Amino acid sequence: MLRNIFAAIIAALTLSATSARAETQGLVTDISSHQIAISSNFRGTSLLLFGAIDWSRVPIPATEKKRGVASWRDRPFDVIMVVTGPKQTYRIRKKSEVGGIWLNTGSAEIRDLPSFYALAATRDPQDILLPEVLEKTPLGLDSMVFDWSEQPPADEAADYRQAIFRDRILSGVYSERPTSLQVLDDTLFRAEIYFPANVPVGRYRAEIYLVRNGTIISQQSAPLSVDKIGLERAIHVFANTRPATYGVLCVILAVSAGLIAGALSRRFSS
Amino acid sequence: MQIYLPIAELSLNIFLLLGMGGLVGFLSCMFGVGGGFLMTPLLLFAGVPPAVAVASGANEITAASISGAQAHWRRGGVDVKMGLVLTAGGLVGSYAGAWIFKVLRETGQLELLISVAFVIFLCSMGLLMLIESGRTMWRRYKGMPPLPRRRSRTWADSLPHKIRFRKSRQYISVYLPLVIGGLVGMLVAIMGVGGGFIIVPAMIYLLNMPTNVVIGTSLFQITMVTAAVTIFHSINTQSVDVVLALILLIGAVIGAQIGVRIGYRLRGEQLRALLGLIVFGVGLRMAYGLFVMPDELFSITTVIG
Repeated sequence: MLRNIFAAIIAALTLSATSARAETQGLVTDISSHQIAISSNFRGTSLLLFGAIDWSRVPIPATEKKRGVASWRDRPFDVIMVVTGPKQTYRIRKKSEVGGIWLNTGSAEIRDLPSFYALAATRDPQDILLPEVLEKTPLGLDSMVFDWSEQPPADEAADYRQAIFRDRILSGVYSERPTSLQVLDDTLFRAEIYFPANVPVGRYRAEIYLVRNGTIISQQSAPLSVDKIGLERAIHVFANTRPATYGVLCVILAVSAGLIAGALSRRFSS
Repeated sequence: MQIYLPIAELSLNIFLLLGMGGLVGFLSCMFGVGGGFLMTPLLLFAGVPPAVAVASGANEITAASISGAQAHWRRGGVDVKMGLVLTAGGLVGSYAGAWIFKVLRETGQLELLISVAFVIFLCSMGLLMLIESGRTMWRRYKGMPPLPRRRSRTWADSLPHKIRFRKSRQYISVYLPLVIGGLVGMLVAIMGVGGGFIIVPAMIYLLNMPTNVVIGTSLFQITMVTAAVTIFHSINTQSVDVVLALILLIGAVIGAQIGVRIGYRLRGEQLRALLGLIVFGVGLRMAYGLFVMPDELFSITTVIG
């Protein structure tokens, strides 16, 4: 199984070397599929993100070059992969007790929060990246930046933040698996990313980072799209482009189905 | 077996949905209630987004109640004139309700209003029906003559524009059913229910209609109003999931046909006692949710646009 996967990776690598598939600074990556098609039996799916590091092309900082370092291979390194979904605005409300009744009292709104966020890495980004690097390139839920379009109460911002992560993780659209990325022979790496049944549709991005000495030394990204296909897509498009016709059709469908079922059951019971 | 719902954007077990539809359809035809007061909470529990649950529920109730309405029609249990007057009021009411819905959703208090409305209506209606039917059963058990079912003359009888509803054996002001229909229509739009659990007691206790036309007429009115609400929701929020509605209604029509048969075997007061019990129980459950600290204090919704 594993051998087959790696064989596939090698095949894909040779392919992508010739194709326009991006390759920046020694990182070559691809996804087992660039499209997730949601049909009626869609129950979630896993995609394989894989790649290879071409150490001869990984740029070496000038300071290291001076010391005569010709290649970065054989040095400890880490790989981080992040898949993010289309951005969304979210409203979060908090309940509190007022006269014995629990009702929404607090509220906040966040702009441009990814609707999907999956991280796979060799180690937790918090442990391998310098704080200033994390600040510039937030990786992992702990460093995710919130763009509040409506601020939560100042003393409760952390609670609101945690509540969002709790909710998103529970519904399966946020995940962080900091040790799920496998590296083979210091060159090949792979990780599986799971997309649950409720995965939001739209344009996704997979970002792969090569990390050494607490900084990102190379970075690569690949597009991915999640779309409905077939009847599911047709229904979705119809409902959104011709809502009135769609509504009338739904009623006609319901009325006829109800009448047919009534007629059938009378026939069988009498 | 899982099935992907294109508007709700999630996968659910098809047998779970069929079962839910069946249960609701059974209640729908047995009591003449749409079953929406049960359907909406069940769908929410299964993880369907609230807007989709309400809108698709309305679509499903149309199908479930038309099969029941037809069954009652064949037994002569529908007062069309009364049903149309109630529907007219219902359309106006649901339009107003949809507007209130929009305003409250923007301020974040919609959930509270829905819960409070459910608790007040379900508990009081349920209790009222339980007391009344219990008293009737007690009198029958004791061999006493049934209480006269004549409504005493009130201010309602002095309203103008009286109309004769032959099938309901009523000669009342047209405004009475119109206002009741309107109030119920408002609740349909706000609570995402068929409104049967309010209109059935209203017809029995306020309009004093004979029980045998109450259920058929209620189903008739529910069919019309939920059909309107379906179209209304699909234009406004594009949240009618036709796949979800179809699966639910397959379960519902099966349940409905069983319900209508059992319903005719039970006595009026037994039916009312049973419905009263269910309505009261759901009301208590919702009250519990209001007063007990929730497991998760936070709720998150996506903002469209």
